[in-house]
Amino acid sequence: MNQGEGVMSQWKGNNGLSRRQVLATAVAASTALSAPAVLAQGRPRVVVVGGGAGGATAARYIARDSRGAVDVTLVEPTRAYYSCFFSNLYIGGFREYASIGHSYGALAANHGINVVHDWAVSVDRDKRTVGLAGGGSLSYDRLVLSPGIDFKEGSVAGWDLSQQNRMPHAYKAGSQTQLLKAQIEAMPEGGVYCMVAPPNPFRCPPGPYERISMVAHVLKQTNPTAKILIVDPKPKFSKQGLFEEGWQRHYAGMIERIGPDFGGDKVEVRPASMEVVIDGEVNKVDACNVIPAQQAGRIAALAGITNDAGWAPVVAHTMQSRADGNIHVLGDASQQGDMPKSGFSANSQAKVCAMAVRGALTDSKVYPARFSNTCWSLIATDDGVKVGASYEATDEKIAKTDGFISQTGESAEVRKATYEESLGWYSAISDDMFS
Amino acid sequence: MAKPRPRIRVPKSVEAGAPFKVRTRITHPMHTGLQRDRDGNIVPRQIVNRFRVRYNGEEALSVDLEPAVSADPYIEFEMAVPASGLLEFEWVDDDGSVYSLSRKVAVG
Repeated sequence: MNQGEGVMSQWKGNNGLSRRQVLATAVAASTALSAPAVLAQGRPRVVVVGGGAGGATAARYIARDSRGAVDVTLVEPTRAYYSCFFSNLYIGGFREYASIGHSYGALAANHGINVVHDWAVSVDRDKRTVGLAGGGSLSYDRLVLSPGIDFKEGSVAGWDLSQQNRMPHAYKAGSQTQLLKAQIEAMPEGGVYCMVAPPNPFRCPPGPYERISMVAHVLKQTNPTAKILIVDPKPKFSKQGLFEEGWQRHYAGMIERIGPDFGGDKVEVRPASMEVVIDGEVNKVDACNVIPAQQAGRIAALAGITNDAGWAPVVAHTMQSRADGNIHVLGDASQQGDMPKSGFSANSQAKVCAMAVRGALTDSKVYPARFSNTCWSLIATDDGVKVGASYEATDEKIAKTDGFISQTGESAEVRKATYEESLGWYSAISDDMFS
Repeated sequence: MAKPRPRIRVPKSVEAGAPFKVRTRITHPMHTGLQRDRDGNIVPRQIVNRFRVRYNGEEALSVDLEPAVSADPYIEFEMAVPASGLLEFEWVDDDGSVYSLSRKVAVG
């Protein structure tokens, strides 16, 4: 969050300026840049697609730090945002559902952002317009795409979106998360919860395993003879040593993970009969959480800026698409280098992007890009762990400079402090996105 | 203790006389007899003490396991067979329970 404060302090130095003076400066700057298109249409226009950790942060920082010199429209289909981060804690009973929900109201009221609740369904890169599902289009000088993820069709045999009520993914937070929680709570005594984990790369690398911890936490209290089965195509996973230590400590005998060495990469689900077939062996399950393989949110592909793997490559310094300099891509949808796909990463990238957009459209000062990320995971009550790093922009990618990770065998005090740190972060990022 | 669950991985078909890999794992706490529970009482020893593999009724492998072996013991080995047949696996628990699985192996 230091980058944001850096930008703010720059503006604080200009406190004597009225908004109108800043606007005048901005227009003068545009003239100096001889950008007739911008002049003809008045204020430069930014359209942000996706109101999550990337998009909401970018919209807010561009509007706030340009002090009205840039016209910002945020396109987001849902009226309330439920954060994927901390949604596992809701499943585990550590958070109320309402506490992970956020309104877009303050972005309009406090920052003059035009919030449009609609789906962006097309991008015309030559005309620089975004088409909306409800009809009409928005023109832009810069477009920020932060659409998160969509699932790859056919990545789990037997599963498609039409099965998401019977076998929820709960990997876009909201009603799916509520549904999965209800299904876990309705499991029969001694029943089996199965998770089909996704292949790399995917949103929130420790997320599936934090979820396993939270499901185990619930079942240990309400259904202690229940079993948890993880079917995983990956040989290794994030914070594996920490999770496995915690599972042994808190939930011994409850969790079994089937990696590719036992056929975890050859899975088929049968939603109608609630069966999971692992390399030919049929397992009857009572709740099944299928997290499929992922790719950038569909609008990125529709804009024609994704690669064969389904992600949108970007320039690390500015988060600009490598295919189109008028488009920036943030967060999970971007292919940027070393950062994990996380809300923290998206928020960090959004500030770099906002600075670059503001700089380009208002000719104001920008600073070298710096990024940071931390992923906290809760294993059991007051048993929090984290992994994180700092990053810088190189011409090739966002490159890791140094990192840290919780250690096995840490004291209860350290783990509690780590969990409490995550609560502070949640409240800070919520403000950073929505206040 | 949760009921142990054995799993095996064997190729469905192999070549006669050619080595192939077999992977086995059983979920089991492997209590060493040295740990104490939250109330300070010793948790009695309970481990899988023997693992046996037979091929068409003939012993192919026999392993004695000791308390130092970690929870959920994983055993991987290579074997070769001359002709199609049945592989049988057995895990023997300290409490006398025997957990078993079998798998047909086709040669050719």
